[in-house]
Amino acid sequence: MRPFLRAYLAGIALPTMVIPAVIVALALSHAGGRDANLERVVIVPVGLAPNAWGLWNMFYLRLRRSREVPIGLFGAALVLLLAPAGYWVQTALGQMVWTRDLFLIGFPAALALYYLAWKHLVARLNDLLGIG
Amino acid sequence: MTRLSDDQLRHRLRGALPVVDHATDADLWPQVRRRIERGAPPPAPTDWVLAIAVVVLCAIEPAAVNWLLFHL
Repeated sequence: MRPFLRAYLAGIALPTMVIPAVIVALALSHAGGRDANLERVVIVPVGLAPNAWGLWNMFYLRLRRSREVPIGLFGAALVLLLAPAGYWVQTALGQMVWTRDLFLIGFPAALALYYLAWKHLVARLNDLLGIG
Repeated sequence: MTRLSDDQLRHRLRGALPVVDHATDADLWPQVRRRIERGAPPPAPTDWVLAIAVVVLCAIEPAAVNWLLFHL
């Protein structure tokens, strides 16, 4: 199988597994009978994030051909792209779920979580598929 | 019309069809199994600290979990 296809599959694996839990968590957090427009809120985790992870891992594979790149830091950098994209989608759809206080805690936590996920899980999947 | 023997037909077919390298597509799963059995290196202490910090942050502000989930 081609290396870039392997990289894409290894990249999308984790968010694809987590997404059902995301949807359930979001649905439960809005389970009060009021209209939460859940289908709008899950656009980023369902539509954008898995593809972004897959493409980011392909980009990582491409970069690593010419230089040594720490995969943890490289994965954490993806938050810097997804955060503005998530903000833009929420603004465009009028479904802002982030607040300033939430951002101050959630953003560093997301950076740390992405760092750990890429360093230990995506790197491991890359290794299993022979592209690590 | 020329009649071909089985051997002649086999020889001509082999000459006409491209050679398939079975070694490249048949042994992927055993390789993956070997890598699984090899195991992964344990996380560094700093990674444990980072993971605990994330859990603590989420415990302090549970709503931040929504923010995290929205990103994954």
